[in-house]
Amino acid sequence: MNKIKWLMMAFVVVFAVVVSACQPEVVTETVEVEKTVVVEVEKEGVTTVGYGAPSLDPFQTNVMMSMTQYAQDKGWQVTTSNANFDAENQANQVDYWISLGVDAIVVVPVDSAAICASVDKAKEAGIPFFTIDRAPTGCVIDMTVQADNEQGGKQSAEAIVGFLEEKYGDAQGTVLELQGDMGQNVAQLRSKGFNDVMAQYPNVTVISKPTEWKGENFQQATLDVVGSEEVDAIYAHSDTVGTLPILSALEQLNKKIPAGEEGHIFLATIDGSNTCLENIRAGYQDQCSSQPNPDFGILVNYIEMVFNGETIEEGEVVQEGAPWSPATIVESDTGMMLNLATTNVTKDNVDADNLWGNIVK
Amino acid sequence: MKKNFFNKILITLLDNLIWLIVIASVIVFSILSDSFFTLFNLINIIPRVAALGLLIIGQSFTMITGNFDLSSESNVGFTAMIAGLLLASSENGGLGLMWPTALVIPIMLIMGTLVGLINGLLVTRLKVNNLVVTISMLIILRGLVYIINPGVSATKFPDAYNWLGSGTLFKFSHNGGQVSIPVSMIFVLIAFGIAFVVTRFREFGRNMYSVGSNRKAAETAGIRADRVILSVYIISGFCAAIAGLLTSGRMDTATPRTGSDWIFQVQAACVIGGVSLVGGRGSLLGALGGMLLWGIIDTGLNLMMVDPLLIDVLRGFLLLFAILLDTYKVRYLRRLSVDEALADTKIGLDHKKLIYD
Repeated sequence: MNKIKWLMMAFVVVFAVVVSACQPEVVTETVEVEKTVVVEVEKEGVTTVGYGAPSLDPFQTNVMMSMTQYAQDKGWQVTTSNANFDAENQANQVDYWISLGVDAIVVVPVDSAAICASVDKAKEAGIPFFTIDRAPTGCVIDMTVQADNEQGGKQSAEAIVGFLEEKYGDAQGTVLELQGDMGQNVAQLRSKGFNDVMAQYPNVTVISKPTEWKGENFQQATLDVVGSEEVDAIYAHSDTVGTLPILSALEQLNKKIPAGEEGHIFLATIDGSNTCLENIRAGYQDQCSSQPNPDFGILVNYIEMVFNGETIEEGEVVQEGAPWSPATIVESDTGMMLNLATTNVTKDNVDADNLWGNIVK
Repeated sequence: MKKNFFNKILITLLDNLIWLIVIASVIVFSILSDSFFTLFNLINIIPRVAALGLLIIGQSFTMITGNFDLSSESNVGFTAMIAGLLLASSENGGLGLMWPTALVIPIMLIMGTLVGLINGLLVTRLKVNNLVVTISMLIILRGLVYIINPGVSATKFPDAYNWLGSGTLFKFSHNGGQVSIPVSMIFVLIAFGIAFVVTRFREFGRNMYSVGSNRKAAETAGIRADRVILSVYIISGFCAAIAGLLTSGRMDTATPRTGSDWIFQVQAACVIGGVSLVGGRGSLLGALGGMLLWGIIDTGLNLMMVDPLLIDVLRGFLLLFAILLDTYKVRYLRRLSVDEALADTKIGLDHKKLIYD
């Protein structure tokens, strides 16, 4: 039991040394320390960006990699964090960045409403604020970059119309729409883009079912509807969670038939995950509208504009050959909104290198 | 004599070890990160863990009596969501009632306390195991939160409601800038002060320790253990409701996940602060130290830009270290008391045998 005594003594000695060595510095030079930080950052000119991921699934990891890569190409430094689904964690992380004196903050909000308290704090500290993938609700920020979800819905709808025309000669039949959480603007836009196209074809019946983004609901809705009706095509708001449950439901119903064969049910989705791409190759899926997340980092160009005091203006952004082009910038009630184009993926371009589903496995 | 003196110092050190670690960690982080020892950062450490602090108070009360309240994190989310629904307009995720703050805060405090009362009654009257009762309550309350408000956040509360969580008590000029003293910082320190006085200097507090260290003996001595345990659960529920008020006020939002995954941080902070897992030991001052250390380590490591996943690993090791130290401490203290008891006798017992048997 003497061990504990020695342990304690050692601790006290080390502690005393540390205290005597450091105390004067710490106590008397507080003010200087704070000043040095500011001066150093300005002198070295290293721009630092705080990046907050909401969680780290393959999709979010890819978005984070994109942001880090684009920023490093500009010679900036990125400090990343993961809120792990907790809005309070994210608020703390924004606090830390304000303490660190970062030049810009970029987050994927865990909660669109809760992020606003942090936006206010950053504004008070004079730090520009950006979000990716999701816009805040109830406060104005410098810019949000997101996929053009409405366009993604349109691309999937057009693919389905093409299939129906080929099958029947003109667009007719029944389509099942498996919706995400319709309380979120992502799902609303994916539904709107799709139904705007479908409204032009009165002979097509659309059956819409909510899923709340839950795999089991995708499966149940497919079983219910395809089991009781003659369905020609399925449009799902997400393949990351939807494709596998849908295919397993079709298998149970003996309707999982590859493309080209009699009785094949056309499957179109949004996201463009590896699951979708693999099933397109296997013939069980036909189309997905792939999100441009490897290029969400394009946001750095607009962060730079804000640094330089330039104003971001509405309009179309075109870059020859880029998968996200043409993008649009619109002003919304939460600030500027950069909508990047989604890529229409079919079996013709399923192996393209720039699809995120081929980057993240 | 000399040995006694040394022992006394050692005991004092052991009892206040958490504070030594707190001070040491402040010094270490100040050296390692330029942004740590700044007024802005130091002032903002406590508000970040303020809601956690209230749960730590409630948990310390139950732990001292040898019980647990694992439901408190869901109680935070539950009370915050009730308040959010009653306060917010319908376009901001509320019910559109927009009741006044003066009515909503009492309602949420009563709801939180009621949850504590139910926990307490189940534990004391029906004699159900306290872990099972509070884990069930943890799940039930979280489910209820999703039922009353499925997947949507309530937001944009009146300033009066947010005052405790994000308000400013006063501002002063420092170094050319304005520094604000947050209400929540002062509030949580006062709350710990009150809790400390209750546990240390009131009869109820002494009864808590007696029940926690030896329930049978306490009952023989005339303490109504059931009543003490019921009371600590009610206190814990009340504290959870205040934590709900603090966190939703700070975020200006009540999300269905508010408070999720907090309970193990609360437990960890209590244990690191020296509150015993088996009851009967621990002080609220230690628990305050545990809360501060938790906040300091999170802030410090984040400011050093340590990988977020590594932070969790380090926190886990800290907790393990605290438990090991506590185990050593208990054994050492026991040896001391046996030594003392044997010093005046000439029975000739081998005290080492006494301890390790």
